[in-house]
Amino acid sequence: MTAPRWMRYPARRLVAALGLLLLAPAAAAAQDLAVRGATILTVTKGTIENGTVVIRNGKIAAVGGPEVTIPPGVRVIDGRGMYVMPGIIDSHSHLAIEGGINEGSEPVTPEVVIPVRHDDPGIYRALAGGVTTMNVLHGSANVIGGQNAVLKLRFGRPAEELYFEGAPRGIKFALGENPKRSNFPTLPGATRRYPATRMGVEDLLRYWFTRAKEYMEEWDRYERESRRNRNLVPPRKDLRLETLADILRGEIRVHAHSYRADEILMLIDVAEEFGFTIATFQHVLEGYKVADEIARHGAGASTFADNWAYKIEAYDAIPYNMALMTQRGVRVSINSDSGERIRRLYQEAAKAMKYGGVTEEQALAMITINPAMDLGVEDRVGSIEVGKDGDLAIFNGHPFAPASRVEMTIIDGIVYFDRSQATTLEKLLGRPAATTTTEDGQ
Amino acid sequence: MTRSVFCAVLAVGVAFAGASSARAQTEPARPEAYAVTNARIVVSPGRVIERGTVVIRQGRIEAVGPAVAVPPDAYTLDASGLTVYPGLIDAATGVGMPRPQAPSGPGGAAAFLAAQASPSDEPPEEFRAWREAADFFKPGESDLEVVRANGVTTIGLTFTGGILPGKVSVASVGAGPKYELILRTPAAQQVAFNTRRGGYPTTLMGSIAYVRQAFYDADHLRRLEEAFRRDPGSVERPVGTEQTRALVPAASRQLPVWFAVSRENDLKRALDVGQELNLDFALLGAQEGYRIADRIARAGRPVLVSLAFPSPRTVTGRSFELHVAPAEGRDTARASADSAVARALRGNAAALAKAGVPIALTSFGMDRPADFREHVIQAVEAGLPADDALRALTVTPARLLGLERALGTVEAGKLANLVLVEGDLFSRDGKIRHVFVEGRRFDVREAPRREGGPGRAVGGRGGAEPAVVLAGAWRGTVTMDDGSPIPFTLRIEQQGSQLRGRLEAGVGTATFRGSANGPSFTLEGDLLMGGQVMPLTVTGRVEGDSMRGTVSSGEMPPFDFTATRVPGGNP
Amino acid sequence: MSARSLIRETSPAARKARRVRSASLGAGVGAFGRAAAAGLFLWATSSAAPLAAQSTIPGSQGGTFLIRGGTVVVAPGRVLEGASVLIRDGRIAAVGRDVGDAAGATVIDASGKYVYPGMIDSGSTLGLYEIGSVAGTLDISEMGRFNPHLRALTAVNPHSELIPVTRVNGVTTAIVQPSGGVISGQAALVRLDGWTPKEMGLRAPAALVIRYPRAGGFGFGGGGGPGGGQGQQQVERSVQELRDFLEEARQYHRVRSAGAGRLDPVLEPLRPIFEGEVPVLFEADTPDQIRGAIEIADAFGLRMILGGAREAWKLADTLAARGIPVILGPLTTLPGSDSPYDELYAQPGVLHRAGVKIAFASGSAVNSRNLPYEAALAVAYGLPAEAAWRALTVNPAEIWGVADEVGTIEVGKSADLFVATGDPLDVRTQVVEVFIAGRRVPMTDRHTELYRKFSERPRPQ
Repeated sequence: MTAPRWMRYPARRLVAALGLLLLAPAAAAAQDLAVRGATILTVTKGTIENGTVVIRNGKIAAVGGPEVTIPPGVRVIDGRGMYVMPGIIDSHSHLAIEGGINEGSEPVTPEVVIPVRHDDPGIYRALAGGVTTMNVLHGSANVIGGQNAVLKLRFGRPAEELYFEGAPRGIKFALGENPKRSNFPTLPGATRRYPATRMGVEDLLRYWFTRAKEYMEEWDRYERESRRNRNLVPPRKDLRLETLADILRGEIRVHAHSYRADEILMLIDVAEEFGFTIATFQHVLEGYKVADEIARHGAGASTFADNWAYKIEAYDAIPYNMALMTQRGVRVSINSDSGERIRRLYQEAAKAMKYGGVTEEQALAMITINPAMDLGVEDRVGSIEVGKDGDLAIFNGHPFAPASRVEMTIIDGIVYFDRSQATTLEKLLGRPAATTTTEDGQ
Repeated sequence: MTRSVFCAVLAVGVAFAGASSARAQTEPARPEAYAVTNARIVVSPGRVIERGTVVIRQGRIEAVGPAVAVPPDAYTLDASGLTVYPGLIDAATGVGMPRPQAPSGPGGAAAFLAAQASPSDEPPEEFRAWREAADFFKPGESDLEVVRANGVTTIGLTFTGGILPGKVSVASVGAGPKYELILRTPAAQQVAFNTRRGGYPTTLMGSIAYVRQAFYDADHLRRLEEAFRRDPGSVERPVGTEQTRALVPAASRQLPVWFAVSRENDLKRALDVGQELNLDFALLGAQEGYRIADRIARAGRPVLVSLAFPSPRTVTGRSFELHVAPAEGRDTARASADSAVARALRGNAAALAKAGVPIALTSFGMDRPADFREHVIQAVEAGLPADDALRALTVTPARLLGLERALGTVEAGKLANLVLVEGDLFSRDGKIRHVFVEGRRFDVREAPRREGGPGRAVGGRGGAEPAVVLAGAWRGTVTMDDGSPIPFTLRIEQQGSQLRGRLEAGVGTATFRGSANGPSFTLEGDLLMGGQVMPLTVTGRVEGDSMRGTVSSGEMPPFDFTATRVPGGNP
Repeated sequence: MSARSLIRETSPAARKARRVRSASLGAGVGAFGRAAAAGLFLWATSSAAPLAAQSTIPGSQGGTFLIRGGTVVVAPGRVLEGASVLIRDGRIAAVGRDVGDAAGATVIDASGKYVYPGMIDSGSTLGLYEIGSVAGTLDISEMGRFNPHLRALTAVNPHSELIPVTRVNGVTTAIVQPSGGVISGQAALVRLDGWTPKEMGLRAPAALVIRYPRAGGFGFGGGGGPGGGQGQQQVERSVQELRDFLEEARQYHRVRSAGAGRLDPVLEPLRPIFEGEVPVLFEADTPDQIRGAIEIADAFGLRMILGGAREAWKLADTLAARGIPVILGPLTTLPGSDSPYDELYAQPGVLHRAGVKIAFASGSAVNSRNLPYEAALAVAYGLPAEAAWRALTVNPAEIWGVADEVGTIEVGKSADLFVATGDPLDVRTQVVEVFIAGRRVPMTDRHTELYRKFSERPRPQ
């Protein structure tokens, strides 16, 4: 870092920066880019020392060692001393939601869909933590909440360009204390919202899916009879039941906020009774107690690394949850559920190695390819493989090493975060940043 | 009075005076005919008769032209030196319409409990799709004077707030009993993605789903009714709520839908919903329309542009600059960015027009309708060509209100709505001298100008309205996503438009800085919750001793709040 | 007790004379606050059965131990390869390649491993917090605004499940601090092992906690809130009240030192702060608050430690010049809305380079075990690794006045140390042995027990 010359013309710099932002939507940045000389953690195809990644038109065109040729004209990032991993994927976030995260006025609201706020500064902070894709979920106030938004963190782009193209639809369910509203004071004399017990949670699920089946039958009947009876009117289009019907048809992935083993089993039973599969149990802090059942059902488990004791249903949470579920064949991912934790998911993933000793590759998978599978986008992201999206996080050391930080975050071959360009505390103070170790470990 | 009204209206002349009550007894008959002679006539945008006559008879334009004879029975107005424009149309205004009251009486938890305790059959205020604005229009005479002083002869009556608040009506701003003023009703169905307290929908996403479902239900009811008419024996008997029945015309393109949305993403949502539901719709407000002008143009939807300019700090996308701005000189840099955004906001109409979007200019959402023309002029100064501005105040709104055959040009057969201006209508030097509303003449007298009157204040123009008094203590309630109330107290210190505040609630406390613009204010600060610090933004509006608005944070999207002033300032 | 105790005893007379001073002083809270607190309590108990944690983790074992053949990190920058540590009678009896007579010692093979001094969490709620949503398990924030007489050590639950969870990661010592009102009470420095609070106590009071008045005051809940203030004027009034209270205490101290006056159990605990015997931990975040705290410390001759300190970097040079130590953390919160994204991560490095003595705090019970990873974030954003290590050991030992007891692996000091497979700041490192006051701590906790139990769950058919 040289003496911050720009400090003398801060206003001019800002105006220039704003100018760039104003231009940003029109001038699509080049989607060709290469990193050379870095250690590449592909997640699915091992680690490549002194590796090269080439991105053309936003897609990974080549991965390999120094022998990989970089086409002329492609911007080359000097990756010496750097570690490159797939862009981090967060299976559970509430960033970038506009106008309320919980439609908590009713316990079942599958008809609502997350409205995206693309200028949430939390997106930028997440980028600075190497995150490139996130599953934006409705809050956990409702047994059946709203439909999700799977986003790429293309900060600075308009809202519709943040959506992960082609990602399957998803929806939030919630079990336990939150939909029971256990930890939210009801004013004396006020009406409590149903349900107040885990029994009531199950009841609501059965009730609504029963109605959804009837709804599907009603439409089927209409389709059959309308050929004979021209005067027949289509049944009422019910957005709530239609969404539930789509779940029953397997078109919407269910992400179920859950803590206790019993409620996890309950939801598996309900889902199997109605013929659908839970895509992920979210938080799933007691997942280790019923890992076999989760694995058999075929759900993923997206959990916290070591958060616990913040409420009763989190008192049996253990950091070995990740390892135990992995050992029993559950696909495990680690989520943030927080605009703060999303900035350091790589540190959280390292805890899977510490507690129960999963391999480095398994731990990396928990914030890359596994959450990609949670969201049904594993063909596009989650590993560094030819043909996949050019989504990378570049660290100054191994992502699990203590002195490592994100230097650059790239989506579709476009640099969305670059620490050398970002406003940092050091730059703000005009003091030189200290050089830090880049080696793995001590 | 901190800022002068641009003009004041005097309804003059024994013959033309209109008292709003007991009129039938006392008011002399209107002249049968009127001739405005020697005038420069702007027939419609781009069509000018340099010197001519307009003949008016029984409220209508009988003849227009350079060589039209003055009928013998006509009173005459020698308009030498004046330009005749079509009477302006403010297609969406809150003038004469009730404003939703911030809850009075016991606030906070008590109000929440009271609302819970007395469930009524009456649907909530937010869902009253059947209401027609005409039935709620109660203009004071000074209201209409203010409108006419701006050269406006026709107004679209709109509701404030709500989700399905009702239907838009159209009124003349002449004198007379209300029923005589109503020109057309309903003219449009008003829709907005607002939220409710204490019941579905409490969020933006809920509100969008609610609107979609409501229109699907109306469409279903229409199909049932049609089938039932064809063959009652083969279908279930149609049953619809008052609201569903009311939405049938809008759901079946018999009535246009106006989505009241102002921010970039809400505009896109309205476009999506309108297209999904195959509605005949327009966008109302659209203050951030310039950010997506091309998209709106592609959608082919007209926009009723609000000239209530928002605070630059609140505009979508401002957070993008946070992370590229150095800290030194940040305040200066941000101030210059603010003024750039403020210019863009005033140039909204110009940007939309340039993109090819049919626009109407409206005072929708403006706190001071008296400033409407001033804001029009600011929009023109910000790049809107005068012809486009005129079109946006005449031909286009006439069409959007379904009155294009009756209004919008100075042509024979149309209602005799005219504005007579000395000078240019879109220049501050131009002075509105007379207004004809359906043949009734009103003379406009210029009010004494304040020192450095409108448009003269340095750097303060364009949204910098005098701030309401916010200083003191306020007590109120934030409504959480599940409808539960969080009581809080807010103390505000004020210096001019600069604010400092402190909010205390059971969940934590926050310190704010911010500013007020007219009755609106924005506060930004950090909420301390235990050891956690959460950035918070409070935006709201003050009316008298109550305020309402939203509290939002980077992570937690907006919650509604209301508050009332604590007498004596001690919570 | 084998370890020297620095616990200040309260006289029985003082205990007898104790009265709720705060209720009369805490004008802002009063009856409403108490009623509201009662209401909250009812809500809480109606929704969740109080859960008393009774850890079943076995106790630690004393004895003579020889940790043999490891890399001993004696102190920051002082590393002995292939060295051993002899622990006897709770103390470090020898360190080096040759530790002399180790007869009867239980030998622990540390070859290929590292021996570190135990880490010190300079701000936690360990022992005061069990389950966040259950009020019955929380003893953090008392009613009233001026509570110098409240002693955190009193309420530390030695059998909290969170204590074993914390110490098995190498955090052996922690400040436990209350957080209500303006004067929250007396923080205690505790060892994370012991059968009773007193056995755990390493220094109590370790500091008087003063939350510099700020926008605060709970509408209900009765806790008094951070500062109990409301609005700028109210904050100023609160600051004045704090000054008045301290002035009263100083007068009291003078009178009592002259052998006169009656004992006041509320003011009595303030006397050592005027003598510099007990430091004052001022929780202050903004430059205004920090400056205000420094003014008070100057006015009353207090030995100041700065906590909270979210924006301390704005006054780094002042803090360095004044020699005011700063407790940082948790770093894992969001920066100010107008701040650089790395504000909190980079601040430790900035303060360190300015010459400020820093230490880390988890500010938590749940995350106390993650203290080294807080430090790791600081290292990633500019704090030299050695300085980070110092901020986890030597600095807090000095700040809390126990540098002759803990913080390094030196002969004569209390044997608070751990054995690890690598750098403790590296999440992947395993801590394999922990000693606290020379006692070998079982490497089990609620988590390992549940892990073991469910690892052994038979596969369902």
